[in-house]
Amino acid sequence: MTLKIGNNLNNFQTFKGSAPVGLSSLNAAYIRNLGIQAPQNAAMQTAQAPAAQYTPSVQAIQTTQMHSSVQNAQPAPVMQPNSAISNPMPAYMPGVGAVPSGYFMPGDNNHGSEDKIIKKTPWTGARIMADKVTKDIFVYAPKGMQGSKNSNFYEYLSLGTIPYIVGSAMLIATSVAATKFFNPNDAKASGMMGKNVAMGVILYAAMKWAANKVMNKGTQALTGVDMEMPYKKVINELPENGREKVVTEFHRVFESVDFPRWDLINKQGEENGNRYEYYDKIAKDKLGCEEPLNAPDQVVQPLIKQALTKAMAARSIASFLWAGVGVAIASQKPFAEEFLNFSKNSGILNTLKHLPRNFAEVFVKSAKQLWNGSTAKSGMVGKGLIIAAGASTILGLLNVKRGYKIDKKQSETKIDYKKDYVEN
Amino acid sequence: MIYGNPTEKLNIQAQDNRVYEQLLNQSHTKTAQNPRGSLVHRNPIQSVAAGVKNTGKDIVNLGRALKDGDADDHSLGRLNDVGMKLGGLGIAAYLATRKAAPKAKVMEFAGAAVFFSMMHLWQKIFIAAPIKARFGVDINQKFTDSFGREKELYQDNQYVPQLRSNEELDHLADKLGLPKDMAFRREYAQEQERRIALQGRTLNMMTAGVGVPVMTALACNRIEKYIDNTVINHGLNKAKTTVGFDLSEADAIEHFSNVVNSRAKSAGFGAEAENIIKQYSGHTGEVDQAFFDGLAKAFNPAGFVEGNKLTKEIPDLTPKMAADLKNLFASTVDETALSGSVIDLFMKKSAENNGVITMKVLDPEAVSGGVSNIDIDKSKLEAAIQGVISRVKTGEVEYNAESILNAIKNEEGLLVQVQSASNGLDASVVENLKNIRTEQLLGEGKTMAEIADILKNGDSVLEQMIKDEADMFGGVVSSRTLRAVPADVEADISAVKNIIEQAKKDQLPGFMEKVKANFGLAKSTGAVLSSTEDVIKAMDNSFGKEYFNIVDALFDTLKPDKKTLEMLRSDADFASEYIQKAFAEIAADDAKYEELINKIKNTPVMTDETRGKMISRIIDNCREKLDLIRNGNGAKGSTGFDPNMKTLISLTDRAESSASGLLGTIEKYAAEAIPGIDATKNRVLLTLDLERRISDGTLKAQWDALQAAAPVTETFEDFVANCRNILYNNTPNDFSNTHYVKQNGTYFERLNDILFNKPMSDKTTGILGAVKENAQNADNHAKGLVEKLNEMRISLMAIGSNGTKDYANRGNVLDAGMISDDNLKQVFNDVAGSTCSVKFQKVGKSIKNLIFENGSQKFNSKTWMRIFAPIALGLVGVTFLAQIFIGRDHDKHLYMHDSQTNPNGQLNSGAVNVNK
Repeated sequence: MTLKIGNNLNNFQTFKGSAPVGLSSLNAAYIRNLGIQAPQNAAMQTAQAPAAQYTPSVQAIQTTQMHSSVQNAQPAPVMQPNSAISNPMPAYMPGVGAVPSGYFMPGDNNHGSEDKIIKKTPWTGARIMADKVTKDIFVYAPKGMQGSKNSNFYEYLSLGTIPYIVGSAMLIATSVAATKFFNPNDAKASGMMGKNVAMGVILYAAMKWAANKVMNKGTQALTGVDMEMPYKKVINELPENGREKVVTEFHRVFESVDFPRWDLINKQGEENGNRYEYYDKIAKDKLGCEEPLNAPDQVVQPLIKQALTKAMAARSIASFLWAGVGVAIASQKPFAEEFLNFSKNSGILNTLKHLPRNFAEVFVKSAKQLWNGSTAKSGMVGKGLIIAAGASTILGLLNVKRGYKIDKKQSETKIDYKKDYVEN
Repeated sequence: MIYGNPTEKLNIQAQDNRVYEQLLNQSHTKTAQNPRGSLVHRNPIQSVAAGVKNTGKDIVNLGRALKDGDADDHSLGRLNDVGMKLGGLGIAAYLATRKAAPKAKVMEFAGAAVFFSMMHLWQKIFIAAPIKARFGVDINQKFTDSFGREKELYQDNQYVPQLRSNEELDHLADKLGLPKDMAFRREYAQEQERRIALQGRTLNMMTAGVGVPVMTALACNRIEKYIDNTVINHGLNKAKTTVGFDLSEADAIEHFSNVVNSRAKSAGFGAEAENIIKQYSGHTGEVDQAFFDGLAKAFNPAGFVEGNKLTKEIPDLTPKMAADLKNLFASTVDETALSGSVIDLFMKKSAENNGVITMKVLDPEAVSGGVSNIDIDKSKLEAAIQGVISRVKTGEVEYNAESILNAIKNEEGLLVQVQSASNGLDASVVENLKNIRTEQLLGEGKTMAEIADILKNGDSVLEQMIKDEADMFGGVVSSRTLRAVPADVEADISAVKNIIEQAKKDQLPGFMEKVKANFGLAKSTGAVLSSTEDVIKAMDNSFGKEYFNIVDALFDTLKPDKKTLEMLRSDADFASEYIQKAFAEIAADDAKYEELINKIKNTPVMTDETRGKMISRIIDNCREKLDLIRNGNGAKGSTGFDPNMKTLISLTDRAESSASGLLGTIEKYAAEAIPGIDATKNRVLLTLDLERRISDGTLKAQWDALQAAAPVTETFEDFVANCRNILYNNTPNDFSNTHYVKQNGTYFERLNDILFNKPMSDKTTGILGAVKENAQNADNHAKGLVEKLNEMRISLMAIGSNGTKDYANRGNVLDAGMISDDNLKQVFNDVAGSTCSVKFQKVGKSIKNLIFENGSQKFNSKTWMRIFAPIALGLVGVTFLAQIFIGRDHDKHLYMHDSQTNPNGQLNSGAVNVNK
């Protein structure tokens, strides 16, 4: 948006909405909440007000100056110049709509409106996925189709889940849908082939997920860093259609190698008493530092960045190779002939009851067949595929560990503490 | 008022200062200080080149990321694409090895390529193109950032770089149709563009899930035919090169020889067999039947061939090869050493005295101890043993301890006459004497046990008693024959076994050398088979294609709807009626008839001449090469197969081979496969011709003429029905066995005469006999087709004329007398006397089965298309419909002047002091 802020600040009627006008009225609400009396030194307060502004633009300051000079009737704002957490910058646009609820919460440690690392459980991944899928259909897609300015990159990437799921179902359907119209012989043959394709699609996703998990767990074991550490991001959307929403998104602390959320890690550390707790732990457990470091974050952060870059690069390759192995396993005969054979005698429920065992047996058999191959050539390519996938994972993990160490020889201080220094 | 640097003048605490510093110094170095990005404008060819370049950059970045851990978000994100394509390639490569047909193999890769392309093409064709046409906005616009990285402009809706100049923005606003006097025109245009791109990209996300797989399937369905043609032609060209199609005969033979040699040398050829040879080279175990059986597996030429078109006719030669190898092994026996060892063994416990050996041998009739001493000349012993060993070498005696020992035992030279004292005396007398002696010893105070001992070990007193007794009778001296085989050797064969086993082990290295030399030649033989199999496979694939061309020609002409297809595939009789009606209709219409005949005529992939030349070339080339191999394959110092390798020699022998060997197999293939496909095609033509003759009255005229000469009771309608039944429905079995009118003498003859002997209709011969100018058909076998059809008709007559089945009426046998043309007479006699398999191939597939069997496949295809083509169309429709909602104006009126309501030049929004 290239609309200049300065112009519109002068124009009270520019934006629709019936919010109270002016900075000071927001502060008034805050003050009323706290029950604090307005101090006498209005001038000092006014002078301090610009310090609480986010934008350093001179225009804004001037405007505020003008602004507050106009609004003399209002009580002067009380800004307590404490940490940014408990006294966040208030919205600076006059005439804005309803203020988001988390903005002026009293107390120091309330994180209702901030990004926060969430605890990872075995269900976290599934929970995040479920959240994404639901929001995809009901929130992100409509927003995108309306051309909302609040549609961001996270939403766009999340929308990618829809073609992934629908596309997989469609791939299975193209192989299986017409089968029921064929004559019995053709239906049987087509059904077998369809089973191979369907299992191929499912095993593609499953093996990719499994390979990702292995890389993540391996990296965590080697480096102490969880690549998938989740955090909840709170976004205050831009006002649109008279509404201004607060939305939550689920991100990973290390999803970006250029901008990892060190601040969240530091914050978490502060809550536990040691700002650099995370780095200290890694330095002690994984980097082999017996003594505590002076600047653990400065030492450990670049190492983590390098290690994660290597891990992510290896993960991109390895996960797809394992997915290929999954498809190759699914294309073997046992899956066509012995898996999910619904016969009149056993019935559907019975077959489903034995499904896990059936699957495990067929999977192992197929994996062996993939390794041995039905012809010399298919055996060679099958072995090549499995070896490539395994090598990419193992070598990837070894590569992550390579270089992940601290130069133990810390530079010694040249100061002799026992001596007295006398200034000449 | 605050002027100057706020950080200096204001009383800000240190913590807040740090916050400011970051903002003022712009210390986030990733965001460029001086942005130098630009939009990318490329034509499609440049796009392809750029795509390749970017992939190259991705790979370099991958290397850097793995090596140094140095990468940024952009390159790591692009690695996902690289991984996906790599995985797709791996999957396609593996699945291709599981498919047998070359078309299927190529389709695996084609399908993967189409799928990845479709992920871009779906939105390019159905979303980006309409949007571009409507608004002039390219939602896939790319730009290059300050660091030279190419990205999509609208990838992140909230961070769209402002890369357009004012002129470009004005142009964009014009394309969007914004009024010229609009306020914030450029900004509004840019915002519109952002919105349109977001909407378009979101629409792509929602529809790609269904669109991409379905479009991929439909696209692959369409390109399958072209890929099939390409693959088959490629295979045929390769086959032609292998047989030296375009070379002279002598050059072709040499060329084929080189091809075979390079194949035999190629890596991985006969790897299994090489492993077997290697494994047995270091063999330290027993040399027994299992050893030879295992080794023989490596020698089987069929083991070198992938595929089974030729090798299914070759019987399992492993037992014969094993026997040959056994003989070869025996022939490497070191006679001198072995016989020396055996002789030494024989003489071990024997005494030698002046060339005479005294040996203790087993003697069941010995007085005591079961052994006797015999004398034998040493030279005789040596000669006998050497004789046996030399017979082992030639294979007459089996090379194991038992057989050798038995052979030695039966040697005449080792038989020794022995005079026997106890001969002539009755056993009872001997018993009496024994009892007397026993009592004597008892009298001396010995116990029974001691007495038994003494008698067992030979009692000189008893022997003297027996001798005296025998002397008393006098003159009766009989002799018996003993074999000069030491008693211990005969009793316990393990000594001989040890010698034999040791000898075998010693000669093993020499044997394996010979084996390797012969294996080289066997491998070359396998290479001949393998190269031939490739040529045959290519030809077979083309015959398969011809078959499906015929099926497609028929179904494309008939165009049955889904309901008809459903009935065709489930009821064979319905299929027969359906096709009869359809053919009758087509035959009545000149234009349709000509069209269909031409279509059928053009179904072959290879012309007749090409086929014939390829078969004769391959046979000549094989024959010469096998000769060469049998004589050493041109290698210096090699004399070819060892004479013991009889099986391989006979397999490759020029004369023998034609009947039962490798050449015979090739000729058998040619004799069956080529007529088979021809017969199917020609049967369709004959059936169409029958309908034509029915429709234009030729048949009736032929019937009337014969009826006038020799009337039969059957009606013309019955006759027509029988003719149709024969051509449409009869299988080869029916032709031979249930040609049901056989009992009906004159009528049977008339049926065959009119159906197969009387000339075809003029229209048919006119179409087929004419030489077409069409360049595609220039070398088509149009000229020879009529002759071929006539030959087929006569063949069918011959097959149906099998009088031996007609027990009741010998007079019903058809003979060549009905036929006027001498050549066709010859054809009749040849076919009548040929084997069942050849006859089978000459009948071709019945039209009923052709339609019935392929009806299923056509029905299945149509059903699939009925499900997914509408889905694709529906989705395209929805996609276009959804685009109505794209690009709607958004508060545009706020930026407009309405001079009536706002005469002072204010905007409708009421804003004043507008920055123009």
